[in-house]
Amino acid sequence: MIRLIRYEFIKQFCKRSILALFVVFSLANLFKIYGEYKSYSFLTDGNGERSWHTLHWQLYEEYRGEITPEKVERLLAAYQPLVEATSDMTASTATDDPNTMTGNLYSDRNLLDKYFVTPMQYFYEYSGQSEQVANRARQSAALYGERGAVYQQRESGAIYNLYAGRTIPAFAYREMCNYYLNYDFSIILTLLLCLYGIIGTFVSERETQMDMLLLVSPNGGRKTTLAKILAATLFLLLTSLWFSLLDLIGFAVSFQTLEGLTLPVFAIPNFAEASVNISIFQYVLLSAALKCAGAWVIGMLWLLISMFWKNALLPFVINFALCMALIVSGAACAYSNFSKVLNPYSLLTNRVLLGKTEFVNLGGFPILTWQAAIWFALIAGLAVAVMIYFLSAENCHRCVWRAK
Amino acid sequence: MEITFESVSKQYRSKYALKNFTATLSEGVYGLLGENGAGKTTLINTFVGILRGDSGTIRVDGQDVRTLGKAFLPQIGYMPQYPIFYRDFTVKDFLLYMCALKDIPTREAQDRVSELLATVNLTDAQDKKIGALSGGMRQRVGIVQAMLSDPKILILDEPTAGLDPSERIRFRNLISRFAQGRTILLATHIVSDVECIAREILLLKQGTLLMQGTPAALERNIEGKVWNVTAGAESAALLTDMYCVSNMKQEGGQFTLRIVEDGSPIKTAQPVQPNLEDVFLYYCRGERHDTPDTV
Amino acid sequence: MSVFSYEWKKLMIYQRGLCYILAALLVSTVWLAATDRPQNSAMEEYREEYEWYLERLDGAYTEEKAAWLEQEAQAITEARYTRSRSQESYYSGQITAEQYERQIAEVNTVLAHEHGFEAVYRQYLYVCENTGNRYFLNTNGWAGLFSAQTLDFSLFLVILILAATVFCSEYSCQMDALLRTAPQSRKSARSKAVMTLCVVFALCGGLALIRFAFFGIKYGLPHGEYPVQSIACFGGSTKNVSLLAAYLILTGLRCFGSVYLAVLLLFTSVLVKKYALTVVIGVASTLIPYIGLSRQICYRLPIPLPFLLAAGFLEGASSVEDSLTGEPIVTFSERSPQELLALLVLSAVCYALMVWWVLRQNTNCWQSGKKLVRRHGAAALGLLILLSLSGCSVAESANGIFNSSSQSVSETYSVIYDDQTRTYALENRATGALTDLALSPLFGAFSDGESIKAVYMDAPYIYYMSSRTEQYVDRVGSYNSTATQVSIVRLDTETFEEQVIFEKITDSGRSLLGIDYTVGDTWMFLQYCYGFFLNNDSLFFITNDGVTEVSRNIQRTQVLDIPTKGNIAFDGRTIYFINENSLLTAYDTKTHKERPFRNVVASDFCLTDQGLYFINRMDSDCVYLCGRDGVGSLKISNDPALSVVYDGEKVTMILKSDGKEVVFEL
Repeated sequence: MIRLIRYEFIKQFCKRSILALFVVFSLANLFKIYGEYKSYSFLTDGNGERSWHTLHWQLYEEYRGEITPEKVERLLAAYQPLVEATSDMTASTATDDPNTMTGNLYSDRNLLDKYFVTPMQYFYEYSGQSEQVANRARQSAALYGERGAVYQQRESGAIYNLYAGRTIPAFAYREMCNYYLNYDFSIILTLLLCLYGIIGTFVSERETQMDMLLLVSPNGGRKTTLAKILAATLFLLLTSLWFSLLDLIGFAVSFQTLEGLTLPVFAIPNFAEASVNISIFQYVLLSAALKCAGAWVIGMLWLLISMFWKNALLPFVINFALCMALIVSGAACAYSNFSKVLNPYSLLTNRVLLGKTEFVNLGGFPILTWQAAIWFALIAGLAVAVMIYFLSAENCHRCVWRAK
Repeated sequence: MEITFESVSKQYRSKYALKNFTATLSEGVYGLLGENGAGKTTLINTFVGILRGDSGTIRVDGQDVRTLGKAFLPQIGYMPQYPIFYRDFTVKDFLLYMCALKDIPTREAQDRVSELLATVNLTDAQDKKIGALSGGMRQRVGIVQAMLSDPKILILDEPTAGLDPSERIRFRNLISRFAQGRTILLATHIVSDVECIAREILLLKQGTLLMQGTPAALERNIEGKVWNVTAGAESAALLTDMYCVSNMKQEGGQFTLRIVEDGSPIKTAQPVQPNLEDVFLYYCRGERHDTPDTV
Repeated sequence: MSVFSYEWKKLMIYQRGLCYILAALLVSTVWLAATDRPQNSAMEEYREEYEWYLERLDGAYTEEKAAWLEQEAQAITEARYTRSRSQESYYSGQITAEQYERQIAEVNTVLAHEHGFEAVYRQYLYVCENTGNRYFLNTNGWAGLFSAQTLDFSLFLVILILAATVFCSEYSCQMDALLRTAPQSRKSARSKAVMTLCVVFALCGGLALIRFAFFGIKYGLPHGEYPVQSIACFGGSTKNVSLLAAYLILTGLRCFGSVYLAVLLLFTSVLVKKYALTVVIGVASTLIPYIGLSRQICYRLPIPLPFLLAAGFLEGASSVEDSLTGEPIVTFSERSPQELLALLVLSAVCYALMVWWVLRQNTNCWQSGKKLVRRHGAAALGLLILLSLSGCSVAESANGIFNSSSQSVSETYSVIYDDQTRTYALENRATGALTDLALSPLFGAFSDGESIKAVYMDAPYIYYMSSRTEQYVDRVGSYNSTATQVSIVRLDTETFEEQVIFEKITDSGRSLLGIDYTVGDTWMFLQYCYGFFLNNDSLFFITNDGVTEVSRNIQRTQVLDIPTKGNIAFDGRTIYFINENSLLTAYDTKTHKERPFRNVVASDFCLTDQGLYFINRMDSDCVYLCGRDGVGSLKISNDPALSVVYDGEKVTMILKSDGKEVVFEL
């Protein structure tokens, strides 16, 4: 079987065109990531002595690590005078003021505000806010308990468990992680590449009239189909993993840092309600796994659809349209937890699942949407794979033999 | 009509698919023989204008084909290797479409199609879809489309590949019939197809013309180099390993081998009359024979 | 038949090209009909009133028109005041019925078109920003026509199918060699190319024509000669183009883009000879720049995408404010006609080169002149690739009684609004225990922008409308862009189960997979909504401008002409309100018919299970009770009242004399 899978993989996916697309799409992705850095980050002003970039990293050395009252006081001691000096908007707008860090008071205030005060304030206040959530969850659980609403009680309990004790003890640079976690472009590249790779799996056998030959081979028929499914799975997983990895490398190289990966994921503002208590690095791994699951189930659907055609054109266009429908329905039904769980595309843009604490009721038990989505994806993917297996052509003699 | 190839070459990267091919063809059937990859299809594709040769000239009745340009194409009928055609078209529709491509006026096209379909015995199948035809019928559709413009030159690339013996014979007869007043270039590696109908044989090897001549002349060229040997099973196996065996028959535990070899392989070997298959084997088996360009 | 006819038959019949074209036309038309909403709903809702003003204002801005409009604004304000004063005087007996009728008749003359006035006044404010090229006209037709600014996916898919099939089908049945030996091989290839390009052109033109006809019939497309700046989306443009010319230009550009995409696909198909690779290159060359690049860059690339989108070529410059420095960041700079021309020429050159190469590749060597250079094709494709890179659930409900003026109470729970904290609490009536109405512990925890805006009770369900402002990353360097999401959540008081039954993004501009899409102003009213009620068919949102009905199935919005100054009551089918003439009125939500109760002149009312309690202005503001059909009035109290409120259990009136509350036990 391993041999069959190897040959199927080489036959279908080690083609020059796929490798060329891999290179072109990877370059496009890196180009886009660098574009994100250039357009979003305020630290792209070079390495001059008074540039934000230089000053930020100098100041960062002072404030990084555990958030202590001394650091907070020191930061506020530097920041408050700037706020006062600029509050009435009458401070000098000259950009070469020697008494300032960056050459301008407003710029100094903005630098401290954006990269130090706001994040540190968020980090500092987060534990209080999560404690408040935990308390409310405990009260709700008690209320639900009185009403006999078991499911709601369990849900509140789960929220309590998630939020009790959440803190962000250390200060770290979070800009790179922020943009990395909100980056989606590579998904479309992954989908296009996977679609192109997958589409030929069955169709190319028909185009080269190999399907008949396969059918009469001892290892042909369903055994080959199984090998094709597994080879396609491998391709889908590798492609998803590659782009997840490339995203991280791209962001790290563009922003010239890996700082912030050890922060808890809820240190990023739009992950304040994250449904997982893990570090950003762990989130990267989990996100890659979810992307793999999403790409796999979509890939299996494509594979199933492509089985019924003689050439690649129509299945490609139909699968592409299906993909667009999943993307648009994902955006249109973003409020429905069940829609999110059922739409495999949400596994690819997994921050809609991981960024918020949302549950679905499965048999009276609150299951986090990302967990439900991954279970649904695995079950649906398996069901589709089984359908592909049983719908694929089989040598009649073998069918008769099995029937006996 | 005289077709002259003058030093025609075609190169793919560093490998010559056709090297200084020079030959002259006049009326009749010309068999183009050669192993797989010898350059037969390259020669045909260059001649019909699908491929552009790197160097050399092709002349028809002394006129460079390049200068003939568009006027050259109505003179040729081409049947490609393993034709599939359009599965959804009916036979008649397809042939009428080919007539349109060959610039044959509509009324004339209808008559020509009917006439040719009758010739190849496909009148009953004219409304069938091409996808529903057998291999032999599809080949016959292929030769009909090649004959539509009543060309002076007919180029057939492996026309009998995959056909059963009766279809092959039927096809051979058709070619003989169409050969009247035409030059037919028939590329094949099924030697028996050209043995009886070809006026001359062109033997290609690694892009180079090895020989050109009538079948009889080619056979004469290797007279005394084809032997019949009778041997037991063990000896027969040994001889098969050592020599080029063109045929082997078993009769009552004894094997009769037909060996192509310059000298007598064993003392008891009997020289026999060579055939075209022996010629093919003799020249295509290895590099050691010095051969003249023409016989 | 000619070669062209056979090629037509092959592509359109045997390869079902005609089916795909018809499917695209049908799907686009159905989609357009199903999803179209008027760009300015007020213009459509009060069409007649708006048209009345337009007759007087139509055309360019003049000082006279502005003066007249300002006068009209003044007159309407005064008339509104006069109306309420007359009503007060009449119902308090200061003036006679005849005097009242006369005054109201005068007022009504002025107010006959007041709804239309609001629409026209907004347009006036827009025109005033640049009086030189912004004209008064009914903009709904043109604005709808120009609203298609995204990629038309049905057109895109059909182009992919048609153009990829043409040559790939020949390669798949190995007919390419045979065709090239035919004397008419060039003609065959030319027929294929010309036919495909003509069909794509016709399809794109056909779709444009359908849109033109649709908007022409639905809203009308008047005054095509007016400047394009009259439509808000082109407001910043400096191009001197009329509306009709702008549409023709856009259609022309889109047709060019479609044909260009088809040429690219033909070229790719001849180069790679495989269906899948052809289509993936076609999709990638369009979708990757569409998603990956800003509009600013997209409109500079000589690829089909900018022409397929086209609208940007006529738009003016736009910018956003940097969240940190407050400086403007240019998001899109206007394309000058010279730039457009240069791009067109460059694209046309690529286009011509590709067509030439396709024809050369399909021509017999003996027919073509000079030596073919295959690498040119590959290099051209490489260049193109490089350029493209650089660059609601419906639940059964019994529907209880709703009065917008009072908080709702059910047998078990009541909802209490805290004025100070501006939060809603749920009170268990048995135990008196208070809990937050939004039971989720996460509600509002990490966002100040999350709050409950209104509540509707329909036992055993409590519906509440929450509003949440979320941050998202936009494409111009600002993380702090926000989108407001308004949801209606159904809370089952028996199981405490919550379910979102309606949700909309109300702000425009949000990112979907990097594609910025505009949600328009359709749902903007939700931000200003302070009350709502619902039944199985519709949701009704109360704002200062009226009640907006949203059908639960197709989400179509309709503004109902219901004044929202006083109480609005609802019994599951009929909405009760006091109309502008102080008459208690019933509006049937099924038949959409309004029925004022001629004998019930009220200053306040409330709906109860027994009927309608109202303060009778015709009888010294005493409280009366009548049936839900307005008949059978019965005097309940002899004391004049200021207001009458029903909280689900009892009716309370506040006395005019001393402000005391008097309760009527039901």
